[in-house]
Amino acid sequence: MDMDCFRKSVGVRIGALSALCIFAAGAAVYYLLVSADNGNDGNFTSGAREGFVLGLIFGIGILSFIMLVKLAVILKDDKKLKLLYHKENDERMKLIRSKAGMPTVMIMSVLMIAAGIIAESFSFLVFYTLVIAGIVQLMIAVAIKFYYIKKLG
Amino acid sequence: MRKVQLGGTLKNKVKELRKARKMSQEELALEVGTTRQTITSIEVEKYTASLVLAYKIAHYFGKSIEEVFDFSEVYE
Repeated sequence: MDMDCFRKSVGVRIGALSALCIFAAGAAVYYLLVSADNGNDGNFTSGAREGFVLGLIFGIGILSFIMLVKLAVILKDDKKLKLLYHKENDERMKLIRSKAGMPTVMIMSVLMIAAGIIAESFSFLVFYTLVIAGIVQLMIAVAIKFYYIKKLG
Repeated sequence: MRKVQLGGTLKNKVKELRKARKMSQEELALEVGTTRQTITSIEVEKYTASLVLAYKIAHYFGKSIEEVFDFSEVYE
């Protein structure tokens, strides 16, 4: 991939992140105004579910916005764009990521958390198990990644 | 004598060659299409560059791969 293709790819990413920001904002408003009122029966499990889902939506929204701003700044600066291109295609980082099981672990964790949220409607135990397993799996992958970053200098 | 096995690291002259040209790691990284951290790892011999990166580094300094990377300790 040359720099022009990479520039286009960053532009596409900015578009996708903008859509994600709008989706997160819409989902948060919907959840706060509509869904939370209907689903909350005042017990601990409902409160925990609402808190988790709302936290997840806000987290996705905030992270997407930060990434969006970062990429928009990078896109205006050719040197920063080249640095990002080298960073993303760096063979050492590719090796570290593959040793940490990325991106497979990331995809698996996201799917487990999503499945947990869906499963919550029939079993709170399944929700907790899937979400905790997904988060722990991610944390292990990140720990392995940091171990190899340190090991490979 | 140290023997390098598969997956081991190679001694190299990247740091000397870079210093001789009065370049920073960042500048060399930009020239050969990698990151400063990877150049640091190669220089401190914690990471061995791939054949393509080794070629790019050697080519940049106008030398052959064998002149930059020391293969004398590799098992035959």
